[in-house]
Amino acid sequence: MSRLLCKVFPLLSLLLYCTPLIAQELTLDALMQELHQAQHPSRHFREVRESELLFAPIRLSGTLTYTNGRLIKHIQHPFNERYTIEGDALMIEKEGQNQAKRIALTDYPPLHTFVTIFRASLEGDKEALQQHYRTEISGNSEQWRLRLIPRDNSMASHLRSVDIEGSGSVIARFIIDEQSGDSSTMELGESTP
Amino acid sequence: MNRRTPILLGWGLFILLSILVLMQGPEVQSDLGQFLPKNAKDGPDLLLDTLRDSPASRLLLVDLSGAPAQELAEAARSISTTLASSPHFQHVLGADSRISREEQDLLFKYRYMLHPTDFNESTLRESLQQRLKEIALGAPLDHQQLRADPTAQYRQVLQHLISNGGPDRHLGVWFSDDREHAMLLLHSAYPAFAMDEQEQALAAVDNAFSRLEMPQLKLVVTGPPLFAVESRERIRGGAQQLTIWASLGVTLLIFIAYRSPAATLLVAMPLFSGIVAGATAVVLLFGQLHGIALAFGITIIGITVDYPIHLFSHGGRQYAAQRIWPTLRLGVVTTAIGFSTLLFSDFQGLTQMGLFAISGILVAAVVTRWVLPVLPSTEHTIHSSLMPLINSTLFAARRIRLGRLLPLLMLLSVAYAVQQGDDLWESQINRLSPIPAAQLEQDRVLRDRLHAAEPGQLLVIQGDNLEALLQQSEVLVEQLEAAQKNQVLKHFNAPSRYLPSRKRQLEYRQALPESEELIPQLTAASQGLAFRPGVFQPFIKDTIEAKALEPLNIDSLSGTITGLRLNSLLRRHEGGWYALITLGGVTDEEAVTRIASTTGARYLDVPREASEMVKHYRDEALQLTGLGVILILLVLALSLRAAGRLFRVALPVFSAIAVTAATLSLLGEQLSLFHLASLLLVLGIGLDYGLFFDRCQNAGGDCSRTTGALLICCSTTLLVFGLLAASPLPVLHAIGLTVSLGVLSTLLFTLGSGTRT
Repeated sequence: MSRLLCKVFPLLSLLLYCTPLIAQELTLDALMQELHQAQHPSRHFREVRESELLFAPIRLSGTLTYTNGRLIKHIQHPFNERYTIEGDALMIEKEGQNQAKRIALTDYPPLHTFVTIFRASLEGDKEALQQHYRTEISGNSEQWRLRLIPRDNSMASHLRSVDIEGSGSVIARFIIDEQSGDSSTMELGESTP
Repeated sequence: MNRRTPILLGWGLFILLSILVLMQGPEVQSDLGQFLPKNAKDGPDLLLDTLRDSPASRLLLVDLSGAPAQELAEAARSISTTLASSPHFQHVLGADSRISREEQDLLFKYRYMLHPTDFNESTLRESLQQRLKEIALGAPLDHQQLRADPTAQYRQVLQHLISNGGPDRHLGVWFSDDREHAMLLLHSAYPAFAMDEQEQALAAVDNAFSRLEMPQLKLVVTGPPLFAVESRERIRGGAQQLTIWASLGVTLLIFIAYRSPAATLLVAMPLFSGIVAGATAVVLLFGQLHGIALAFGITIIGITVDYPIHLFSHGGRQYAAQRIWPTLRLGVVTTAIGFSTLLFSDFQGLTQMGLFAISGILVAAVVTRWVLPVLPSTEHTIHSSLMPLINSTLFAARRIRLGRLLPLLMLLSVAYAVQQGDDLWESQINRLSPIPAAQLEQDRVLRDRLHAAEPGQLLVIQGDNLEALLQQSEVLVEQLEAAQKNQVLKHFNAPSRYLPSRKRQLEYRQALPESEELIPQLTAASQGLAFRPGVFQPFIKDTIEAKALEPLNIDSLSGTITGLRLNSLLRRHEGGWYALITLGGVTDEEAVTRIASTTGARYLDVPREASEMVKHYRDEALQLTGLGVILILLVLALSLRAAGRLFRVALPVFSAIAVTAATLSLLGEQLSLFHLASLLLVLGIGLDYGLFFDRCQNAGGDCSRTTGALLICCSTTLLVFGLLAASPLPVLHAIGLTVSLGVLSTLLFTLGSGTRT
């Protein structure tokens, strides 16, 4: 009896261990947990923003760093500016200006929206997401997409949806669709050295 | 018997009519402003107006703490929304109190009139690049607005109007730097001294807070309206307790002295009649009665308890009343002369108090003379067990022969008082404030955190019309902004910040380019930028329309938050307009005074001016009192017709007053108007003592019954005012201590100056 158990147990535990990898259905809980447990290194990004006001999209690139609740979006091209978001304060540092400008993040609702979503997804904070958005999840853990649709009217009046796509614990892109028809796609690339 | 009926009927009718008048009369007032003088020494009562109702005196500061920032912000927003719609507040600042759609449209329409522009190719290009960045960041929400206002002129107008020196915003709410405190600034709809209304406003704040149901939060409210209401509560609460204890104590004392329940009732009768008469007289003459005049008036008429005591000690019957009447009458007349100085006061509250006291004392005397003697069981004598005590007191007092020392004592006291000079007098109003020091400190901390103006320093400018005033304000703003950079002051607020002068608005309009200039500039500026052609058509249209706009005026701002803020800094007088420029955190007064003198403004340091004013009124009161004293001495001399008797009556009480003043000063008290009024009361009581004692001495009696009466009178007074002296409230303490010391020394001096029989 005990010999049998000795043989079966490793097999059983191996099976159990592998279950998440071969799961067909990805749940929000599982995704959130995975994102929460993973390390999020500083990464390069490319962002394309299209607007009805513009005849050509704006392309931005730079690095995105998230550590200990602090998000730094460092735009390096086409201009050099650093946006540091800590708590709900936004600090803007511009090239050639030694004094940083501090603004309340709430004065920039769309940026605020983005930061809240970004922070909540990296923190795996399901409640924060579900409080403001309806969530739809599709794909599997290898290739997933989380769609967020705003719940309250004031947000829904400017934001249509936010899609977060990724693979495993790595977020690949954010796609923001606004009611005005403007949209932005941010691709997250290699981690920075 | 046949005289009793008409007298009692008359008295009953008088009380009934008085009560009817009082019931018809208006409510008891509690506006402390009436205790400020009616007119100032020079010209318009600007300072008083400011003291009564400066913008800063209406401010309530609200501080929320004890929870994470997110919760604090939500709570602040919720309270702000509730209070903004309440009739008790003009406006609520701190939790992005959204301005109405109409006001937004108005400010947007007039954006080029309210703030300067500088349109040229390079500034326009800079603006467009900035807008591109904002689009890249996803910042602009309203494409329509961006197309009409690519230079973000409207945003600058708003920032200028709203930020205006407030603390940092966090989650759209004012927060302290450490994010532990969320803060709001409430502008009450009422002046600080309108206490009943302020009480409602404060209750509205408490309600809004408790409706949150967030017990973990700590709410701190401070500001002049709260102080006014709390002072009243403290004084009222303190006075209520004191009244109960004092009444019980006096009743017990009278009972111990006479061992008769009827005596205790009879003693209260003149007092009661006096209070009713005093209140009625004030209501009939002024059409209203101030709560403080009522309270202090009752304290003053409290001395009429002495009248029936004198009556009893002389037998209590008709003949006794007749016998003591000349003495009592003289005492009443001199006391009334003493308090008539209050009638000439510029403080309506003090005038009311004087009228209340005089009519109350007169009626109490009349009741003692004619009503009491016709009542049954008025024969009361001091209980025999007390007589040995009284006799030995009199004997001891006479043995000391204090009388000889009185001139020396008086001289020493006066010399000491003169040597003290100005130190003898209290010049700071707030030293007598019933607000604990810790709370004042909390107010200072909150004010600093909020960058809120202290109700202290102001610049006042005057103009024939609003336009002149606004232009003057603009000149001042430029100078103050420069001074702000030099750390002369931390912040300020001026009317031209909310509405530029017509002249300035026309200059702003003039600076706008014509369309044939603007279109090529804009085309050149957007060269190489990704904006779709024609996207800024609304901007061109608005700029052309702005060139034809008439300047914005104060009437079009009515009903807006901007208009409210503007109006809170303006005062209209018959002669023209005044504007207040509130200053905060002034570190260099000289620099501010210099700015004032070069711009034709007047610098007002309200606390200092107020203490100057108090000094002025104190001097006036002293002069009037001096006049009163001369009049009293004249009346005494005419009635007593003997220098020796005049000396015997007046010397003890005047010595006692001098000694009391010197003792108070030695105890570290500085004398205020309240002390002065208390000394007047001592004079009134003391002259009665002197007159009655002189009367029995003159008649050659053994004076033990008079002494007994004086001892009972003095004991009741000491009991009441001793309780007041023990009060932690500075005003009550001052009155209590002064009267207790004064009455005790008067009694000692009076008995001690008696001649041996």
